[in-house]
Amino acid sequence: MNHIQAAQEIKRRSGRATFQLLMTPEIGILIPIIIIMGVTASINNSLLTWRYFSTILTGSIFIGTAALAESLVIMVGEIDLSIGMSGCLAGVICGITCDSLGWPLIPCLLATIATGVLIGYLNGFMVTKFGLSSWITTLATQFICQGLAVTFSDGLTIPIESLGTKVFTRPKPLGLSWLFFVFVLLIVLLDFVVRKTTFGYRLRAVGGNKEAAQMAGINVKRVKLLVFMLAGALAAVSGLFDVLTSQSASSTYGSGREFRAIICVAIGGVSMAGGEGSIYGVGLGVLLFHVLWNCLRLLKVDTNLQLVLIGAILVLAVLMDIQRKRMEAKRITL
Amino acid sequence: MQKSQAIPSGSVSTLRRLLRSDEVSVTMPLLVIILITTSLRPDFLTFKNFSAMFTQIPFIAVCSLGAAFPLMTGNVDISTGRVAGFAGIIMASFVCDYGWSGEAAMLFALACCVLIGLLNGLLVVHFGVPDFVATMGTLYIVGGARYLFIKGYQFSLSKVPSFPYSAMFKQQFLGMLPPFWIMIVLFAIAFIVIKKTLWGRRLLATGDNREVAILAGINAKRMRMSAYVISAVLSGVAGIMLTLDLGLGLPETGDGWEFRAIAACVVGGVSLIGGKCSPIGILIGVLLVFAAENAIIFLGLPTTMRVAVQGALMAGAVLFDIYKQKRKVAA
Repeated sequence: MNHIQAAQEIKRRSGRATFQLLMTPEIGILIPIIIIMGVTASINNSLLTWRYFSTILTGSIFIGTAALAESLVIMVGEIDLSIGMSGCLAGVICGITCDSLGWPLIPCLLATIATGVLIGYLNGFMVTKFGLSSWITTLATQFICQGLAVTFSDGLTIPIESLGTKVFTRPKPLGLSWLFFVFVLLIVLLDFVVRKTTFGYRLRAVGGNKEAAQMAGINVKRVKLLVFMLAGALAAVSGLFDVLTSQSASSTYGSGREFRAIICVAIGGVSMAGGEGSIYGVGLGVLLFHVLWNCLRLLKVDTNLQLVLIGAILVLAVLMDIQRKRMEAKRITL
Repeated sequence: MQKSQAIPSGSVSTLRRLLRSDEVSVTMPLLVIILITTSLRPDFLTFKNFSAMFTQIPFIAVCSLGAAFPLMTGNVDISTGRVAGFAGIIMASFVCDYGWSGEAAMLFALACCVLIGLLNGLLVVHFGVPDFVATMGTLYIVGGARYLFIKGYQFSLSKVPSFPYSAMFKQQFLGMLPPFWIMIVLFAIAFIVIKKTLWGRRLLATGDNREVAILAGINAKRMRMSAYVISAVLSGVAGIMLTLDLGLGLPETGDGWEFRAIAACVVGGVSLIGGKCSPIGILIGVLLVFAAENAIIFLGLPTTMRVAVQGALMAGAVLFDIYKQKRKVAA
């Protein structure tokens, strides 16, 4: 009898441990990735070739970088809807400085990043100084950026030939472009910043509990302003990736990217309420999003049904996050 | 501070209060735009131009009215535009493909809208999903779903003989098309409901201060839920109206309305923090957004500036709202 009980107890505990492991964000994402890939591969095995997979990876850097930017803002408890369009504007600025003004490479890149930082500063300034809600502020900047990008580029595609950038897009080791390695480097760097530095610690503290952070002597407004600026810079990088890959700048790049970025961030286990989440989780979320997208394409699912599925996945991901938090709270109170 | 200024005479304070009301503060920029544009292009301020504008306004205006309800309770709904398109397509598809009568198809489309509103409300109110993310999910779901009804050809309602509404929408009543009058009626109802009924006051109270509202015995959850349902239904009405007006079921109907609707609400004095709304203000806000867009065309500015101007308008309106609230707290 005792044996049975003990065995049951062990089984229960190990069951709980497995369950908890499943509920950790990073592992929780890997499982659906593997299942989706398995199902798709059993129907259409071109997915499992490295050639196809490397194109998925290379194609994920654009939304991926935007998702990194978005995750920082969401971790601090705000939201940034201007990511896609500020990246687009930065790209157009890159095109103009390079093509029309004929600047050399380095000042060109600096101008691009500076544009992003400036827009981020504008967002952060309005949010922290006037206490505006971030989504409406950044929505307004999104409109402004889009208008400026179209106006600056005259609605045309600016070809970029002079920029010595072909080297970045040429496929390199393992059939991936250099830009993908830049993206991976960004993930590693940001993860270090978020987990190991004082700034990252403050960032999570502000997102977790603003009042407590304030009382602990953290300058909440400053942290938020810096996060918005960092997000702007990353958005500019995402726009720059577009420019470098397509060797052109246009006001059509990056539209709607902020939404996809938010979906990646949500799938990646970052709490939409702020304060929680890991950069590696976001990286995996980006991967899952792109794998899913490509699998749906391989399975020849109707494009519009794809949208429905993606919306449903977004809602599910956020619901799971909330459920996880509830269970954690229960465990702590027990 | 305000009191000491009000002492000299009663009429001055009434005037000042009127000047500070939301409706007037929206009308000011509208007048400025009209004045500037008219002084440069006299043909801007003509009956013809404005009546042309009024044939386009009702759809977004009704959608904005819908979007205002969640905003009033302190939440946001960004799925309104897609819901409008969804309702239009459902109605058109059931009339054209399944031979339903117009009334039944409309009711069915609105019932679907109620369900979408309930889904939004459930996610936001009961599960605590952040409003922006939850309604973004529905935006994708509904936005994709409406294309599933299209089977590669257009739903042209005017060709269905048993469907009188499309023709009805072409006839003018008292110099205006039916959408205009429907809009006026809906806004009038909304005005009475929000300003005069207990339910409307409860809705505003929920948005103003949720804790206090709950302490006062208001079922805040139910109020917020019903705000989402109303938002979806009114968006559905807007979508159906546009479909009837065009005589065509187009899936793109309503794309991008959500943000224009929110912009119109914000410009029209709906506070994003909740608890403040005036239907008249929203109507003037919609007019302002349209007049600004129209003025860009009249002034010969590049049409690409349209989006930028919308953004600037919205940012300005939000800043103004915050400024007003800070002053209210100070006073």
